Amino acid sequence: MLIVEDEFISRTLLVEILKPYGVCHTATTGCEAVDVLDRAYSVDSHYDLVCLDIMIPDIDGQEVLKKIRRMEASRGIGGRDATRVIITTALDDSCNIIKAFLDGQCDAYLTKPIDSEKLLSHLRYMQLIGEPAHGYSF
Amino acid sequence: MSARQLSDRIRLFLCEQFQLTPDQVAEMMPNFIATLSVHMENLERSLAADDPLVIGKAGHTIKGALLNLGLTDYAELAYAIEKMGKGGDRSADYKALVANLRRLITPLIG
Repeated sequence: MLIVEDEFISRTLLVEILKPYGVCHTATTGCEAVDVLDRAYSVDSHYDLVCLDIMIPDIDGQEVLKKIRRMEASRGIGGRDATRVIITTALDDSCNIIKAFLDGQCDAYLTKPIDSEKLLSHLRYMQLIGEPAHGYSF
Repeated sequence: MSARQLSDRIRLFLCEQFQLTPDQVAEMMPNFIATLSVHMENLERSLAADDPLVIGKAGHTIKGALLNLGLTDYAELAYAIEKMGKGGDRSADYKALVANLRRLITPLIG
């Protein structure tokens, strides 16, 4: 899992929520996120999940999302193998949320304060983790 | 609100919202408070730029942190700063708004 978030408190909390379900890598800028994703693709790997903030330095989250989909398309990755992207953003950011769904094909969005139950239920729906009673599947 | 009240409010929120244990929260709190202090300083520093967009961006950062600490009412003030800044509003009294936010969180960050 890759968490792309420049704000320390938000990033730390996301890591705390997700780390029981797998290894969490972090990036604090758009450029760093693209580098990390590119490195993963270059060794024939990819992230199952990217939690992506929209307002991040260098390259914004919308552009990172488009780059993810372009990198996938160029490698023939799609469907169930595609990286699930959850946009994390502020409450007032409906324009960005709509844009992310339409242009960048994000899979879900979460507003701050992050709701851990909602995040985990998205992951269950995406079949990235199992039901609570059955533990996790990463 | 006193430092103790604010701190208790944040601890309770973090435990409930993120299903964290009191021990986990206790471990995180000093870094979170220090981060909030840095965000506040950055917001104050942004006033010197005399650029609403820069102020708006700094307002956005501290807003996200305040929301994730459960300080929704303070986040609303940061959001007002963000909104006016991003809108390029040059008539807003950013100095007073930022000073108000500083006054509210001073018990917490000192």
